[in-house]
Amino acid sequence: MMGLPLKRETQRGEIGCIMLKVNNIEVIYSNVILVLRGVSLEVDDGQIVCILGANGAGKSTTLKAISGLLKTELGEVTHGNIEYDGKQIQNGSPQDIAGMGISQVLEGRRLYPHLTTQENLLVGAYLNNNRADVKKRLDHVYSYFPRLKDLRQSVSGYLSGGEQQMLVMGRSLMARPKIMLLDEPSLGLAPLMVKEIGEIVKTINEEEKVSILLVEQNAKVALSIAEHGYVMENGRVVLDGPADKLKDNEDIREFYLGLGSVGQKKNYRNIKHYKRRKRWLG
Amino acid sequence: MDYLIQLLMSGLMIGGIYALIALGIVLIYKASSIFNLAVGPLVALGTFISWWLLVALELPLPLAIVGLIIVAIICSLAIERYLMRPLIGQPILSAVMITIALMVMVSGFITLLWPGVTRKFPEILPSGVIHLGNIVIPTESLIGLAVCLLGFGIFIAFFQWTKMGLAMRATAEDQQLAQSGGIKVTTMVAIAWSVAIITSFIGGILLGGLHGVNLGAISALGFKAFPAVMIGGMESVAGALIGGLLIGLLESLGIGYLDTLVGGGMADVIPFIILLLILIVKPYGMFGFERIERV
Repeated sequence: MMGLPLKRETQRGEIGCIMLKVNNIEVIYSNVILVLRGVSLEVDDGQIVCILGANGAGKSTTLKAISGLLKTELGEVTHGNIEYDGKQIQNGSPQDIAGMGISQVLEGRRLYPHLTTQENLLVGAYLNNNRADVKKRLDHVYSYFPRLKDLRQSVSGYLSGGEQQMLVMGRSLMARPKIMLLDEPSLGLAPLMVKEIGEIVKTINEEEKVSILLVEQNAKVALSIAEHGYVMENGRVVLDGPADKLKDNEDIREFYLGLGSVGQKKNYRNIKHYKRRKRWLG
Repeated sequence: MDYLIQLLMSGLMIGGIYALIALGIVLIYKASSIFNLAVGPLVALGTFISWWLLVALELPLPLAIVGLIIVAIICSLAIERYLMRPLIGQPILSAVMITIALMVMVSGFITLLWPGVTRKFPEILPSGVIHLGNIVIPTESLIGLAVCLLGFGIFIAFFQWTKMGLAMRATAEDQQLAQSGGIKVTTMVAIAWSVAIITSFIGGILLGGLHGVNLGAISALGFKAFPAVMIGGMESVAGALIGGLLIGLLESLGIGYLDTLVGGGMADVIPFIILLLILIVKPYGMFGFERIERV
């Protein structure tokens, strides 16, 4: 039974439980490539937090630093620390961190393509030694994703994109995580599917009491389900705030949602001008 | 007709041994995507160590087998810890080259400890023959085949139905993903090597009974497991069994019918001709995993 996270003043300024706190980490790959230059963020108990940013901003690296997978890619947290449940987990081994209740759903719907759907889910529960409990958990996950139950003997490499996304989230759920790190779940999915996945994420957060750290490029969906958001660029956090404030933030609207000031016609000259100016204002 | 059946039977016997050794190669490949090239000398090591336990130390058979398994586990743990673990995250080719180094080390080790002439392997299996009509089947070979099939049954069941077997299959597909799920890759690799070396040693005992205790001869026989692996597909346990039996059969038929034409030596050549053909025609083997790609 994990100790409860300490009650401290959270980023929302209230007294609540902080589940995960990343303090100013610097991440270097292969001793030479500096990817994160001082990233700090915080996930409160039961919250959905999203990280937005363009490609190469360092979002996936942040998740891998938290889950320990950085080690498998010759990466290292060289500065700062990551606190979870009162312990420092930076540069820990991925297996140990997975055992503590942090579950990462990797980018691109990574699964075991030659195993069947059910086998993929069972691997997720590897750390659980209680067979009856695993079976119960499996049925529970099937209740979230009935389509997976129909496909349970199918070889998972042949499932459609949406089904694979459900499978990888289900596999993460099998481990009874306390916090789920979701890396771009909407990537490559049809718009209707993206909406469905967004709703599933919200349901998981509410019913399973799982905190969620969501990395997304689709800012609209991310901000519609998250409570708090961070924007990353070039390895730094450049903006953060409650999701509804971010949705109304002028820069976010322009850079991510394609909504310029109302009524203004965009032509190339204007765009060139804003690209030069591109600085994040408050 | 009788001659043909006789050839087929002896082919199955030797094929079973190849299959066992092939199983070791497939297991290591499944757990770590590394092709273990040190198989020949490892099989010979099994022959030599069992000879030493049975003849030099004069242990009774059950104790010798226990001793052999203990030595196998120690070897595999040492290999995993000192040879394989430092190479995690490095290109797979480096690890394969390390197995070549292992091959040379084991050969040297054997020559160092047991130099000299070919020794005779002790009679541990009941000798004698069974007669089926005009066909003569040595009981030794029959027992060898039975051991092989039993071993295979156990391993196929292990991989399909146990949690550890599932974890090993998962690690074989995607190591990083397995680690993120809490699976300790080093444990999986250590288990794979342990089983592989145990099966190689058992193959060594069976081959020693047939061919004597000689490094060169046994190593050469051990290498014939490679065509078996390639026919069956590098990721398939069942493939290793079928591949091994097939190679044994084809080799036996080759000896029986072609040796007189070309003056001998067919046994050494046929498995590798088949290997060449397989690589040209169906490189993934019969049961290997074709890469699943979705657009």
